[in-house]
Amino acid sequence: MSTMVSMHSCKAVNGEAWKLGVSSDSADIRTRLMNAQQHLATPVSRQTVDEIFEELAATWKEETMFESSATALIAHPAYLRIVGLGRQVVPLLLKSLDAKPDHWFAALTALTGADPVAASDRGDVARMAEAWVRWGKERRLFS
Amino acid sequence: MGEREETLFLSTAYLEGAFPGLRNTPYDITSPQTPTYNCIAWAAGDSRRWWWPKTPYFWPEGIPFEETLDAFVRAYGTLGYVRCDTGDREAGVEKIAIYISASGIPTHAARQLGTGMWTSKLGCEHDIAHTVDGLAGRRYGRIGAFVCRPRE
Repeated sequence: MSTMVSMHSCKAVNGEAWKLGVSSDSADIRTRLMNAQQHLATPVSRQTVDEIFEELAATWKEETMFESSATALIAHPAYLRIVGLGRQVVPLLLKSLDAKPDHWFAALTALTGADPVAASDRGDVARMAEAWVRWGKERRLFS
Repeated sequence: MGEREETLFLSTAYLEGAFPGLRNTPYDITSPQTPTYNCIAWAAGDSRRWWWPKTPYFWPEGIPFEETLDAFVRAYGTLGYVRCDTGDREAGVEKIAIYISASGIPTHAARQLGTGMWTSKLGCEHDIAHTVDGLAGRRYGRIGAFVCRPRE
């Protein structure tokens, strides 16, 4: 055990200042305790990207279920948050499209810069989904 | 209760919550849910594409990519529709109602059936048959224009 001792000023019950000797081990434990308390007080997400995506996608679907406006679909806060997850969400978007066509096209273009949909297929959601799935498989972005 | 009955029951609750005008007017769910086409396409008789003036969606060639009533009227004009005054049923005439928000942005379209009822695709949800006022309200706003053409 270290013999290093630091001196801390404390207030005694009677109000007089006095010196207390604290070992370096004790100071280290105190620092760790403070760090742990700070960590607990700081909100952090322990969800995986998959879980965050599923949650946001469910919110987006529920809150845009009656929307016909493509602008409203892609401007919804949950959709924007999905785009905000960055490129790590691209495989999840592609996997979702592979399972069932949906309106992930704007998100995919925003995240990858690509647009594999042929001009003749504009608006054909099933064929647009197929084009993106094919694009993703060619680049082995998902399995 | 079977799976289909349960789906329709849940949809009915959602529909009437979203569109209070349906509570006291006749309507019927006429298709399964699908995200592959929207109301603008369905009113135009297209059940394959999603129409909207925004890339990467379909919009008739030569029509401005604008979310305005005029652009939507012109889009239906490519199919032979012209503006008309009312949504009243007229023999031999097919009509489309274009709904707009309080700020004048198109939100929805419905096509009149031969019976005088209207058919709509609701976002990514079902097609329904309804009265023209059944969908007016907070969500789709009011009717901004009617367009019509001879019924084929």
